[in-house]
Amino acid sequence: MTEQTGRGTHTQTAFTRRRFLAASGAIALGSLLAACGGTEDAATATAKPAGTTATTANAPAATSAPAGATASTSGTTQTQPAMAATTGKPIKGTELTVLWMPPSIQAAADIQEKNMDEWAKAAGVKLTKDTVALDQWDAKLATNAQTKQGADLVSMYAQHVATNENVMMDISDLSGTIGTQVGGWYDGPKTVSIRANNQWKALPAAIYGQYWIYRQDLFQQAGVMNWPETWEDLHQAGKKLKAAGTPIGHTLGHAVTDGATHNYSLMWSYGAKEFEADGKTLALNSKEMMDCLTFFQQHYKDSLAENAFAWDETGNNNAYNSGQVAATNNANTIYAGLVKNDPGLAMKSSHGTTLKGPGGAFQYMSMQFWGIPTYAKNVDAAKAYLTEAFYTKDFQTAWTKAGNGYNLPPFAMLESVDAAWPTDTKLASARTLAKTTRVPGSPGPYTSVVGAAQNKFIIIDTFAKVAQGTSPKDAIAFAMNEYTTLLKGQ
Amino acid sequence: MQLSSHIAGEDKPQKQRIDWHHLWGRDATQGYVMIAPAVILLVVLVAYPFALSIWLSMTTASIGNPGRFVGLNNFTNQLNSEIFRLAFRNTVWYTVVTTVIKLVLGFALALLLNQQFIGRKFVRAAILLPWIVPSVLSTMAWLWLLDSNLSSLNWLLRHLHIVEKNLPWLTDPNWAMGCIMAVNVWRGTPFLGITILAALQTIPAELYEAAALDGAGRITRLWRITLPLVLPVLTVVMIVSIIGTFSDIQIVYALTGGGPTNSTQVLATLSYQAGLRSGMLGQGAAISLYMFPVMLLLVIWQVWHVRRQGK
Amino acid sequence: MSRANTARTRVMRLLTVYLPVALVLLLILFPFYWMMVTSFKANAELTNLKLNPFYPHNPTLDHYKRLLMQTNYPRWFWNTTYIAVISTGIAMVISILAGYALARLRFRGNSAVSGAIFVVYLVPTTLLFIPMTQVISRFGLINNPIALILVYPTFLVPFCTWLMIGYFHTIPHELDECAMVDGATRFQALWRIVLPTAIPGIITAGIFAFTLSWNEFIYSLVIVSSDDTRTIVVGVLTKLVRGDLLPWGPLMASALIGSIPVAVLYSFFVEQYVSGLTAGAVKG
Repeated sequence: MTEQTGRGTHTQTAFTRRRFLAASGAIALGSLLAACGGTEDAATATAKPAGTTATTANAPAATSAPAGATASTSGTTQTQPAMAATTGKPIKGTELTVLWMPPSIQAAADIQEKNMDEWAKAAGVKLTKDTVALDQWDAKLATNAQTKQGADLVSMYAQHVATNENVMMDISDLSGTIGTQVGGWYDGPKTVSIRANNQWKALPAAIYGQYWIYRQDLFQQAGVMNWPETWEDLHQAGKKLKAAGTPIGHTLGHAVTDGATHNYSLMWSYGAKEFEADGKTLALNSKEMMDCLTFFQQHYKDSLAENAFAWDETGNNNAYNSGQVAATNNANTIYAGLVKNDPGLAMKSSHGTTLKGPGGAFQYMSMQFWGIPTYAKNVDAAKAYLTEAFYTKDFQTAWTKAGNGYNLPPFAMLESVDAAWPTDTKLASARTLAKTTRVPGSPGPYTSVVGAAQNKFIIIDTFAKVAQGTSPKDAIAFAMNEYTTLLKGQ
Repeated sequence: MQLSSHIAGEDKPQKQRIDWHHLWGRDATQGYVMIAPAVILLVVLVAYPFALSIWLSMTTASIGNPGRFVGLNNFTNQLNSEIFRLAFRNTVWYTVVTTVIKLVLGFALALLLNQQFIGRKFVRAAILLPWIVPSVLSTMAWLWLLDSNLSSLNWLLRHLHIVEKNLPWLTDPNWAMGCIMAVNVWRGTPFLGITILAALQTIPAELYEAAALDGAGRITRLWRITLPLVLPVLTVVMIVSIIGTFSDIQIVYALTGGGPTNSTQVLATLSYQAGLRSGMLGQGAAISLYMFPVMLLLVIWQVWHVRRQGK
Repeated sequence: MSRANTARTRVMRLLTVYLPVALVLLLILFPFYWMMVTSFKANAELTNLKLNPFYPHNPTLDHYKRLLMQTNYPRWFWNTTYIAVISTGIAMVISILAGYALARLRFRGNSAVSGAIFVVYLVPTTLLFIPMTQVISRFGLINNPIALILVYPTFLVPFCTWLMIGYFHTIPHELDECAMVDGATRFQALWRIVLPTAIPGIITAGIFAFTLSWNEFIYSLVIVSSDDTRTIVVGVLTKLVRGDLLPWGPLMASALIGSIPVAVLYSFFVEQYVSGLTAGAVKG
């Protein structure tokens, strides 16, 4: 029976690949596209073009596979010139199912829904939007993958891209054409999209901006006139704020997003990292990590909210909304909610910039992606939707505007488009925020071990342990041991 | 007698009809026919997937990737993980404590509900509510009551001047485990109570009458009559409670996600986070299966016990 | 009986019956009171620490309106009901037959089968749901409510069978043996003699099965995916939860209006078998 399952997978992939080749072989635009400077597709093949904002983040794709394999696979990718729209088979009258993750901001969700519906009507496609709660996304995708049935186009977080890479089609072709269309992808999300053998398994759809929201009134009462620039400044400000009964909110509970927002960002700002650039050599046992945890132990004692151990994703929202903390890092959902429900508190609040540490200023942000699963039945329509509707300048402008700093575009196209950005000056940083995104595993790739470590809350627990009184040395030993276990389980 | 008629049937085929009748009359035949639907259902829909899961636990399978066979590596590998060891310990502790409390409270509840009192009908309906409401939703109500920022229980306790400072419901490792156990007991006790109550109903009143005539007191009657007679049911619900607690993911997942620092992490949540959520199906299966031998021993003991009771 | 004696009995009853009952009710119902209050509160009131959280200051029906008007709730309610009723029915028939056979009849493999039936109950759902869904997919039943009706008995039958074995053991062998001596067949004895005696057990098992089906979450989530075929729990979580925002009001409202009818229904069943006993208890 198991054998049968295996064979099933095989046939399925073989089938889609054949169809894929047939679809893309029709035109020979490939070389032309590759020649375009902005095409990241070309970039991944051998070396990075000088024009892109090159960081080490790009390295993993090149190192994750033997050189020969990389070259040959990306070679084929290159000659596949993309656009499924030209298969000749009309998509009119077909059915397209989308497993869609609506943004938390209602206006953004509405406009995206409209975008899908209008495109579907114009293209004559019967489009079904399916969704489940975010918490159940993993279960849904896993079952779809194992039964080889499900939506033709799926929304995914970075974690889902990593866990589902084996059942996602290589859409390097799309990443090239659309990448040009949107003015080039940002590096953070690109590290997630590009999987083994330099294949693009997902297209970045949105970066959820993470802001430091803080109470201007309370900071001023404590004698702190401006938002602190560094973690150490926050620590000093926090001392006074905690003494006044309103500490800083720093999530230490088992919350995938908010926990990472606070703790990974702090870790990176000290120059600490989980892995070296190869993605295999553990790098947690470092002086940087030691310094970071030593700082944090004091920071927690002096300036942080002590009930944060129990915070889930809503924990810091509730703490801020109810006036118990003076600052916390979150998506703009806190601010958006306050503008609606508690304008007084919204008035007293503002957003600060990403905090710097000895190693720089980095911010963890959740990211959303589009992927076309190997079990998709209507690949052409899925591709057509992305090209013709989702990644158009008009829609992206309207969508970004509706999100009001929530969903930020993972590409450069809108940087110069004023109409896309919030008019509220308190959200002005939205325009540049997405570029500071960093992805777990940095500077190495976002591997499945990195994803598993995130799901097991290892980094968060390392910080939480230190806050509970464990010595930084023991906390590092704990983390190293857990990462080693994950590596051995590969 | 059955045996002889069977042999007779083989000797004389012309008596086929009567032999069929006899064959049908045999315990064994009737038994097989009666268990057939259950067996077919479970073999097709559970045994096969289960076998597949056991296979998975011995491979490096991930989503869309059958992986390679690694023997017991996934199991031994977990032993190195502090999180796993904690989760294992927590699972045992959580299961044992809640089961004992639920059994005692459930039995007491059944005895209580067996009394005559005004409003009994209402109480019996109300009592089942915790168990009827989908745990996904009722756990959310608890989360909201125990929330680290907005706990209304804390509000109440402070305003009644029972406490000065907020209680660290889900923030402190020990309190968090206590809260999770309390919610589990809250949710699980009503069903145990009602099940045991049903068992109490089947005890013939004559037994009590006879015992009372012999001068047996309340306690003696409880100990000598009630307890032995409800014991088969009690052991079944105990096993069910153990299995249910062991594999229930909702309460822990919603209240703490296994935190703070894995102090409430149990195997079910760990297998979900480290296995399914991370796409590492093999690892996840191994974590889930870790308790299996313990459970199996329990069930074997249970089978033996019920068999003995039956004789 | 002297008056002092009656007074003492009354105090005793107050202490041993009414006080514990009141305590039990308080513990059990408090979270429901809380759910109810939450479902009537306006959103802005939920995070306001200055107000007494135990009653709604500006009661609103918005959450109920949103649930009933803007979602497919009535449809989900219907789906949940019929799926739970049918799968419970199927599970009960299978379990009563199997339970009776395993409790009463001697045949080779009896112990092995009863053990094996329970072993399948040990398999955690988190482990089982993916491979089981694969089997369902092979039957071509993905996104078909029939799949749920097939799948639910798999986790109902083991427990119900065991519960029935337990109850059949508490019923004296002599009962059905007498009937059979009088000429009844095995099935007649089961149907006419044993089943009526085992009604409390059957009701308990039925309530158990129905509740588990009613609350089932993971299979319903992964097997059916269109809004029209969803069950209550999956439906409300899917439609209402957005990212890090939990809409407490509508969630609590859905928990309440989905559960209270079931509780009332159960009370009738429970009353039925309990009343049979009350007569006995009074005598005893």
